[in-house]
Amino acid sequence: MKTGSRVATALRDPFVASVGILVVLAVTGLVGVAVAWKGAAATLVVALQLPYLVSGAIGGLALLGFALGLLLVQTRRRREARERAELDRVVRAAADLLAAARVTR
Amino acid sequence: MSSTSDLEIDSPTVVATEAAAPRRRVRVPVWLRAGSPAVTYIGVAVAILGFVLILVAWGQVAGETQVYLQIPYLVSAGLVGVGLVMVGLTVINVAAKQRDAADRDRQMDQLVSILDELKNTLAEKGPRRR
Repeated sequence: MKTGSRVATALRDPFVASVGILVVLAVTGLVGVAVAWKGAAATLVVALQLPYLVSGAIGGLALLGFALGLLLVQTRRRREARERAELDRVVRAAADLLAAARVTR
Repeated sequence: MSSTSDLEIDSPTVVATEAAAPRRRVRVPVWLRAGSPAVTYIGVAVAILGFVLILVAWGQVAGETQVYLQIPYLVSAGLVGVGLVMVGLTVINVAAKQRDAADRDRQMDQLVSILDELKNTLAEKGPRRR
């Protein structure tokens, strides 16, 4: 299997796609902080540094926090979904047991 | 002393009245209930509003050249924007947890009802064999 088709197959999973988007958002937030640092360091005038602080540092940190928070939520939901699938198997087994008990009655 | 001993006696009529009193139940709108995705959308909207506020703060701060005029925008729009993003994230988190808990409760109810039926079936079956 080629790498491209592997990636395409992996991206069909909504979890992988959402994690990819959230990682890109988090990296964008980090890049925003870095750009803000570079812009603010290039000038000695505080009035010109503040826009970098607002757009890059605050905006970047907000984006980073938002992306990481959603990443945690997605990961936990994935784990919950797996546990629910396991519980669903238990429910089905119990239903089969009930059906068998009714037949033998 | 007699007055305190009188107060300590449990009156059965009072207890019965309290037990019979109907509980006040708060009615939650359907779109706010645990399984509803509306709460998640509200969280996303609040977070987007926070990002818009940060954008507004950047626009206003970049348009001023005096620090004492920039700081109020930084505080009122920038920091409030960050706060709204965090609030939105928390709302999304709580909504996701509620949805998962609702799904789990549904499964557990199903399992309990099946096991109850199984117990009744086996209880009916038991005496016949004797």
